Amino acid sequence: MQIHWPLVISTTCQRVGLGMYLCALLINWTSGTALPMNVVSLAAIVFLGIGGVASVFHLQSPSRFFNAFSNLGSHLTQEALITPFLGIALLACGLNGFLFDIGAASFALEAAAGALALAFLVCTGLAYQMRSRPAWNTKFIIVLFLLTAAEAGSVATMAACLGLGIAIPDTLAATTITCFVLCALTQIAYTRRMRSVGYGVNVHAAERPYRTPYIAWIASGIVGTGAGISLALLLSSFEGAAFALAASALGIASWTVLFFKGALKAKMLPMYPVDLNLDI
Amino acid sequence: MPSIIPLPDGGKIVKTNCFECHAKCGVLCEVDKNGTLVGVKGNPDDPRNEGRMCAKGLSAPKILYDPERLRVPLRRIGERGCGQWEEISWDEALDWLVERIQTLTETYGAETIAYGQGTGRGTNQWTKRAGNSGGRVHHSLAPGNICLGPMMVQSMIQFGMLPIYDGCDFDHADCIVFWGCNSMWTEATYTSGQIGRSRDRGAKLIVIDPLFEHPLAAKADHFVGVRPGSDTYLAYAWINVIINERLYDRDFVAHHTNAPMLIIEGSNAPLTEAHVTPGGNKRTMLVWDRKTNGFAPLNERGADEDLEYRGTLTLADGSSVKVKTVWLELKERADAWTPEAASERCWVSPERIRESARTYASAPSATINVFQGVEEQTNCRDTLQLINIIIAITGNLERVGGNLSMPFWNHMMPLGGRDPKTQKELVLVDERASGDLIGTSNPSVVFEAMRTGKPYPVKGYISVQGNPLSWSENTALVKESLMHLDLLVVMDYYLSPTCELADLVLPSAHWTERDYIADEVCCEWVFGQQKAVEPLYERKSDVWFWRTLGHRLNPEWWPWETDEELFDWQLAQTHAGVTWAELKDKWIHQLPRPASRNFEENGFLTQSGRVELYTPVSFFKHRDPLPTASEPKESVYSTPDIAKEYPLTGVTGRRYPIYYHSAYRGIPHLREIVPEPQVIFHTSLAKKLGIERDEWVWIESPTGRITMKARPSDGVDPRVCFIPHGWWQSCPALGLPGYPDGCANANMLTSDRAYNEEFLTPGLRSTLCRIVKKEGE
Amino acid sequence: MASDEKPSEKRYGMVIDLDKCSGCQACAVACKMENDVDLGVFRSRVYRMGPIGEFPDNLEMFYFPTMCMQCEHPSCIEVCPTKATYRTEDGVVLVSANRCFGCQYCIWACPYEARTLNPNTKTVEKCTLCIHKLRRGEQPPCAYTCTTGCRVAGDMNDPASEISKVLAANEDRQYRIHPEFGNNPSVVYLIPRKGAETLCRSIGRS
Repeated sequence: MQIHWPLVISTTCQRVGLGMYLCALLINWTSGTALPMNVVSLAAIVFLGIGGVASVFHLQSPSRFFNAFSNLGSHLTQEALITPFLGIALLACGLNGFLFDIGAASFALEAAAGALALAFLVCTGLAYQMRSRPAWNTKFIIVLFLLTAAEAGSVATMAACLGLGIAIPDTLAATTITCFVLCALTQIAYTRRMRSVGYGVNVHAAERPYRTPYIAWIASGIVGTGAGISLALLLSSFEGAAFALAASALGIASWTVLFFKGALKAKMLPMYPVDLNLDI
Repeated sequence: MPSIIPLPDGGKIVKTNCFECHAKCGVLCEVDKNGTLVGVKGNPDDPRNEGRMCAKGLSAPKILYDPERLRVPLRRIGERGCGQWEEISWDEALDWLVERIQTLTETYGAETIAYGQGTGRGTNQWTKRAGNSGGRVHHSLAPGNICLGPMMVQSMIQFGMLPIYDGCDFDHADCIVFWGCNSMWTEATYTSGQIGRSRDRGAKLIVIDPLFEHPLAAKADHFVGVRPGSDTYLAYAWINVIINERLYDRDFVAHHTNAPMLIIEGSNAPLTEAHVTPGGNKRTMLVWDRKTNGFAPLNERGADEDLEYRGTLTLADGSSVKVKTVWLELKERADAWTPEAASERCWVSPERIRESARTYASAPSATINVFQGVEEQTNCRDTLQLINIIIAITGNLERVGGNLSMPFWNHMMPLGGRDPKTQKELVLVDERASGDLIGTSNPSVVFEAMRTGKPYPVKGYISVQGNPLSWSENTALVKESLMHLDLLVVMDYYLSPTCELADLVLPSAHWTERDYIADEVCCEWVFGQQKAVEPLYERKSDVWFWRTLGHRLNPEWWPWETDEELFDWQLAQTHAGVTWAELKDKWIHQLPRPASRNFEENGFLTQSGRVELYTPVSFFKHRDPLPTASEPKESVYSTPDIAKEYPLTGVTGRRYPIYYHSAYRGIPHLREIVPEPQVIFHTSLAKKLGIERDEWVWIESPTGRITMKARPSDGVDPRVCFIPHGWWQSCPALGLPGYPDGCANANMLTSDRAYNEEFLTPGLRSTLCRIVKKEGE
Repeated sequence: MASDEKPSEKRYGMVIDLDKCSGCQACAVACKMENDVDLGVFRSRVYRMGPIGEFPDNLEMFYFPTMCMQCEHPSCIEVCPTKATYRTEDGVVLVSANRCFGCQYCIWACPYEARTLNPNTKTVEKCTLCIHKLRRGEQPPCAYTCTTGCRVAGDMNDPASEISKVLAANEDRQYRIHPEFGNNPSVVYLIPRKGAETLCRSIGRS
């Protein structure tokens, strides 16, 4: 399948931004950390905004954008419907403490934004699960979308802590490491699964033409992110955390390229070792 | 029902016939109230196509309105081939042309102008008439030698009809054979639907073709993957099986063919009445009558012909000779070609040969469809004669479900008028191919006369719907020849490479823009092929051009003042029993069936009145009256020296279902389907040469070199390749290039070194060549 | 297969006999002409499988026309966010060109390669089964013109229709592509009698 670059950018931004929001929220709740959710929300909005603009670029007739709300059964419609509410909720969170202060109600507002963010990520993940493409015909997809968001989100939260001079809580450190390892393992498992999806469209990620994004993913998503996380945790280095975040985002983007490239359509007649041809 | 049906919105439906190819399917043209052709579809009332229609015909509106089409007469200004033209009127064009023809004729004689066409658009007879009316000689510079000429003449000699083309009764056959042809693509009209129905009811299918990509190969009960040009061995092996396993129709062979005719051993000359009776008729051939235990004339009814007679007798002149029947001679020749022996030469397994022969010969009725795969070969006469023998001895001639006569073929030739008396002396032939059966000139020698002026100058060439830079062998030499002309006139749809060299280019009307009669390849019918729209720009019909030019040059031969008068004359000459006005109104008209459909009563329209397995006509020209298992004159076996350098046997001219020869590469939605020329060769050869699919490669022969894209395939013998023809035109709408200077023209490769003696046919379908990887490009 | 439609409802579909198709491309061109389909867009195409194997006796080859399968449970409708894609009461899946915004999600989701993004209109298009013809009692041009007569379109729920008769007469050769996806296409192929041995083996037909 061809690579849809606007979608690579938008899904990457959405996972980093919303992952960060969710992670910061959960860490505040569980560890009593005082990460400023208004700042985090504003940062998430920036990511979501970039992603949203990229999505619109994917549309061939963007002026008809408002048609997107028509089919409640479609995960894209669901995503589109969530977007304005998510945007408003995040904006409210972002302004809370700057323009106004809703005090104790903040918890509910932040929780609502968190629920919408999670729903958004779930919808995106579900959207890519489809039977026509054997590589995508699996629950791995939703798991991967959530795990990548969790990894990037926890790394971003770490960077936020270090940037704001807050010590990284143990829970966050543990979460980050767990997410990183789980994510890498799941991605490896997905890559292994691609080798035997059948329908005549098995994909060996280490071979051409998948090799380049595969290597880019390993370099950034595993080596780079792993090194950055180590630096951040061992040396409490903000630079390390920022590097890990950049590497993680790049890893997600590389992974998404591989994810698109490897999503070949089921062959009409997979029982044959050759493709249908248009020769005359 | 009238042939024009008005529509409520002011438009109309016109019943007419397509001419994107010779099959001429019945069509319904939809024309809107502004006179624009908006759609074409098959007419279900045509008993041949029953509403079906191919990709070419459906594209008619796009072809009619193609902006690349010629619109007005163009006269050259500047050097020949420089591409500078002035637009002139038809009056000016005709005045100029008549003056040029008269000047050339006065200076060099009428034979200095060749008249011709390519595939033509139904004007074969008018091209011929134009030549004949010059009064000196008719140089038909047309590809009759590679298209239909051999098939038609050989069948006329042996059967007195042409039953292997539109005479194939696919709808009723129990076994259908495609021998070197793919009518599923080229004449889908009367082939594809019928084949499907027949297969549904269990008819057997045999495909004899070097390419498994034939659309029926995989469906066939027998795919016989013959080496190109080796059909003679295969055919003899079939005859071997048919005779030795007694699968022939003994009654038909004995009573309706000349198989029982007696010939003298050694000379193979017929035993005639003059041999055995003093004062007997030299033309009366004899058989042995078992009823009277004596000789009887071949034509005598009621004799009990002995098929296996062999004896020694004393002739009237006192000499003693051994005689035997044609049948025994045929059997002896066939006995040499057991399936095992033939297998070595034709590369088909003995089992496949045996089984396919049995399948064909044991079917209650079977039909063989033949075309250019065997025709465009230097041994085509032998192959065609052998196939005709197979049809005859199995009794499949004029049998329902077999091969049937169709009336048009017996009527077409006389329309061209009688050959001038000087034809015999002045016809241009050479010792490689004397061409005495077809009575016309050898194209390569006419081209030579253009270049050398020998034996006399050929200074002019007038061609209607013809592009010899595509159809003739050795294109480079053809181009050089045309450059020597003083007068080159080309009438066509497009500015073809031949047009580019012309003095005068004339715009041909599309079939939707012209009135004509659809007759050839129309089985038992004749159709009023009336125009659907008025001609656009200055386009004129090909018939109008020949008639108008002919009338100006020689009103005695061309007396008709209007096209309609000419149509009426044509219909009268062909005994259609209908006038043009009637035909135009009723659209379809059934012709009287040929007499030989009832051959028990009427016999066959041959010299002997019987089917001629043994053909005395060619014997009189000092040729073997029975076929031999001949090898193509250039092949891996007959010219091993050439084959050492050029080991592949290349088949040029395989057809596409969406193009017609070199036409329509410029129609965007067709070019989308086949955007580039591809040479087909075996996957193992590609691997050996390190060639990938879609890589541009060289194809080289002793004649020249061209380039095409590589298309490795499993469906071809590793020693054979397929090279499509007709690639010159660009498609601006898709940004796809043309192929100038013949750089992808298959005929840059084909040989002008060897021809079939009888039909002047070059070996286009067995061209020795090689495929070469392009290094460093 | 369980159909949740009432038998009185129409279900237009097509049967394509792969034993007959000769790859002549008349259907592809008829579609272009009838629907004025833009260059670069194909609603109906004829592919070929093979030739594959060993020359000359051990080879497979058959032609394979493709088009919208007019699924009973279309993946495209499921995913389309704009409802540009919909299914008519007579069972035909259509795209409303003035609703589609070209997200191409349906192209990804369709298991049958039936949809193309038209670079000129910026919307997705596909075969309509020429429903405008079928509703007038005419065959779609691809079927009307088919040089081999391998295509028949009509109401599969009407036992008297031509398509139902062809299907009934060829029960043993019916094949819907990827039945496991559950789309239940209304385009039914009749598998070749010869030249498709691998296909036949893989789906348990001999």
